[in-house]
Amino acid sequence: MSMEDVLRRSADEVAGSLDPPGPDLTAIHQGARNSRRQRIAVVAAATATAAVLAAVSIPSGDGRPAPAPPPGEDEVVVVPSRPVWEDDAGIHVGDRTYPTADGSRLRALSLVADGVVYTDDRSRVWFQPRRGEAVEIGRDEGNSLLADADGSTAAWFEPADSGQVLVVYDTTTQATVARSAAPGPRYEPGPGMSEQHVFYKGPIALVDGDRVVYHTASDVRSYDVATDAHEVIWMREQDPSGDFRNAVDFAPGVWTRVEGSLGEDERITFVDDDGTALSITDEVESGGAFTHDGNLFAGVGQGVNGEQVVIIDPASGTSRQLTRDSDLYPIVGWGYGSTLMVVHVDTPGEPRLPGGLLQCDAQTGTCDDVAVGDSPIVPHN
Amino acid sequence: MRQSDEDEFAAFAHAQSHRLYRTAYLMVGDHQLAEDLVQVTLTKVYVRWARIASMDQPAAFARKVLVNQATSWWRRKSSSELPMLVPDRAGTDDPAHVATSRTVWNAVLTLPPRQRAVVVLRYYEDLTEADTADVLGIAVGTVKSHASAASRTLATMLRDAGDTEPVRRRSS
Repeated sequence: MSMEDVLRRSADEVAGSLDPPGPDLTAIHQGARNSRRQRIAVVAAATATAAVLAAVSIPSGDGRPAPAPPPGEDEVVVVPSRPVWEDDAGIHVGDRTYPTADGSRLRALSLVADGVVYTDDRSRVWFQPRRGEAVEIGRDEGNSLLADADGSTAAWFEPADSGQVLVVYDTTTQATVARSAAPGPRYEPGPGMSEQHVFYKGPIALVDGDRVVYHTASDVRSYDVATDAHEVIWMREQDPSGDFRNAVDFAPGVWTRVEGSLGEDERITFVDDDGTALSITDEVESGGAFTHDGNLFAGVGQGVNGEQVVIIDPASGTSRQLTRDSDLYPIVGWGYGSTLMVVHVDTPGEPRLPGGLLQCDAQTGTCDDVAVGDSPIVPHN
Repeated sequence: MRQSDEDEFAAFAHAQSHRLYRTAYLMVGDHQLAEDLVQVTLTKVYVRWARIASMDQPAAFARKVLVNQATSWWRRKSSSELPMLVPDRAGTDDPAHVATSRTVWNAVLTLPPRQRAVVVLRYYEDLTEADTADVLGIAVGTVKSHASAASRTLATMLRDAGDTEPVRRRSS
């Protein structure tokens, strides 16, 4: 008898000797209610903390912001509105630092409500929960990983025999919920991050619950997990003069429609999901980042002292220059809440050591330097 | 949740819980823990039932959740604590066969978590290598290497123990 046969027989006999209990539906209902209460508590606590942080973030006499309050003892309260970045010491979420697997560095970093997901420099995808060890969840050879910061969904592309497969993963159940064949993804021009800080933004533009928006060579598509449908929501257009019309950045309920020449006379229109224009700006380049709720947009514009971070309210088009004194190119990524992380590099596309990392409160416009290790990167969104 | 969804989930839970329990028990070798794993799995499925009910194979999804829960438990558990099957429930099969099978399965429970999961999914759940890879989120090649390593280890352990008939590995 082969070992396989021995194992089959043994498994069947041991399993057959069991007397399994039936499901306890009452306990399941109770467990589900507790799970919901936990989530509601986290959201409520995060909102309360954001209000506290905003209230105490009053500029001091020298124009610099007052220091943020020390973290409280209850981690549930403070973690959801904390800054997030990675450097050679690991992944920082507020005062917590999580070591990466085998000390590897990151190629992509994104947030989910109960932790972070990342692609390391060996193309491995990991889920790092707030408590507990990291779990390897897939392979992402194109650094395409993106997640839903307010939920539990992460998505990335995996190569397959027939092309590319879009993988959708649920961090709550720690299970893949979809693997769907997709057209070849397109890496959208714009500053992102890499081991040396700069690369193009990933092809996935938005992960919002069961919905994943991604770029292909010819269009932008929206994938729905429930129906397994890939719907074209935007056709890419370009005329011989080099002008183009494009859809670049997405958030729940809002996205950017870009016209003009790349990096020169771009005009960005913020539109809602119905295509209705909300506001227009020419103050920033495309390839910025929405907050996870879509209420603010952080982009890079030409300031007095070089390229600076500009925060825009998509609904009204009003803007505020956030950074003022750097002559290095800023790359932005949102932490939890309205915490913006800004890492400075020499120029996009030319990797150099960074000039530093800022943690900004986008609501109040205040920024603090963050002490970082080597080669920090910020969340991708 | 609508009453029709509640009823649908209840039917699903009753239909799947025994199979889930057996899979869990083969993975962890502990009745109480197997019950807990099934309970947690069904709770997670219940919370997301609207999404999961529309899937082609909700049972396969529930199994995936279960396996991931078991894997999380293994990571938390001290490597010095090895589970051991305890024949504390009445069985219906030939007692001699079951005793031999328990010896084999006690050896399985000493394998590293991933190898153990591969053994359960391949030889109890009868999943293909590709389906096993999908459940565990690993490559097919990794499934093959885990299965091969498990087979080698078990062959050595069982031969040394002398508690079962000699086993041979398939050449292909």
